[in-house]
Amino acid sequence: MGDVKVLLRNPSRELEVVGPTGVLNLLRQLGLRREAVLVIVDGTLVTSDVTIPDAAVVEIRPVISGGAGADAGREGSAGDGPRGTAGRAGGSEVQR
Amino acid sequence: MKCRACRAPAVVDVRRHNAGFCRDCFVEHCRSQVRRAIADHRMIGEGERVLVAVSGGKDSLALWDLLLDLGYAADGLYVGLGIEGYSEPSREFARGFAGSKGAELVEVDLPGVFGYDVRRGALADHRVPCSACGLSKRHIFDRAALEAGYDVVATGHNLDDEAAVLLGNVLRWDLAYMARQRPVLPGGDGFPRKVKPLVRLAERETAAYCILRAIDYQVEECPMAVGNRHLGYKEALGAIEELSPGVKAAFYTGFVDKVLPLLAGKTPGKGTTLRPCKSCGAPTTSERCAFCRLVERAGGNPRQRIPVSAR
Repeated sequence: MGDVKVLLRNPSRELEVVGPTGVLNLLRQLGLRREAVLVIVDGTLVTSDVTIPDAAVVEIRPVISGGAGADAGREGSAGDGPRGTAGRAGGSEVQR
Repeated sequence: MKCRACRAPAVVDVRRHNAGFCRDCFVEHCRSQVRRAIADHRMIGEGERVLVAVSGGKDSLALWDLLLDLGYAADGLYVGLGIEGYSEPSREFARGFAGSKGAELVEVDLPGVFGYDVRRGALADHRVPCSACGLSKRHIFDRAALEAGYDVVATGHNLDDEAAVLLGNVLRWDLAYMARQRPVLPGGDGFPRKVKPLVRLAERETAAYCILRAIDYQVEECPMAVGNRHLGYKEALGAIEELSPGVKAAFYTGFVDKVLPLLAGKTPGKGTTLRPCKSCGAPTTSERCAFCRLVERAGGNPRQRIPVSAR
């Protein structure tokens, strides 16, 4: 058995786990939801039923982002939603 | 796992479809979802010019690639937000994609053109950064599209984004905001039409699409967005989806199909009178629009022209 090098993002860090190991098993060890990441083994995207071989380099790429929709609907007192009325002091704003 | 369509080895699994896909069939799956969203909601007409809101992230670059691939005349607009350590690499990803496709990318730099950045705008206008960012980008996309004669603005909001926004609005039963959460916002009254062609794709799919199409994108999270409420809603929905794959799509599409028709007439601001902003001419209910107020409070100049040429 050999080590599998695992690269994680947000924040970027690196760790080693004992291989071979299954993708789902690895994600469980790391406490990650399978729908929140993609797993790339030696540069190739893989499905969750794959076994990761010894000495592989694995990138766990997060897919959840907070930017695009963060202000897309309302977000309450945060201010003027797109095409919505503002809920903040200083006058309302309508954006269509 | 085998590809559902061709039985070749799969490289992506999509649990809500209980399916795996090989590279080519997955790319075709993404195209077909975007084609269907555009057709179902009449987002883009034949021959119309599209301005894509490009951030350098996976969603906007996947969207731009898909629209170009489907034959649309789609240019990109990148807004530089002045976020240290984040905006510059994001811009490079946008430029890299445009260069690789020979596509037109317009760039508007908030500090360079308007004299403020998102952090300063948020502080000066007493907003959270995501609000200052959203307000700035919406204003600039709207103005740029209208001034340069684009028919429609396309944004990269995906299924996860829309489901998370919907959850936030449902938790407060905010009917006015729910009423405007549509895949298409019609143009008129000084606003361009806005469309969300990725609403049938989850963000895991847009990320996989970029990887399989060799599109380099900004993987790092925006430092301003970390810990925001929107991410919390996504986490909550993700936990439910883990137990019941497909529930997120059912939540959003059920809303669009069954609830939105019942909310007609509840759009926020209905009945209010719009007039041109005294500074920039954008439609507003006040003397000056929210963007101009924010820029002036942040010490910038909102009257600057957006450097996009009319065609």
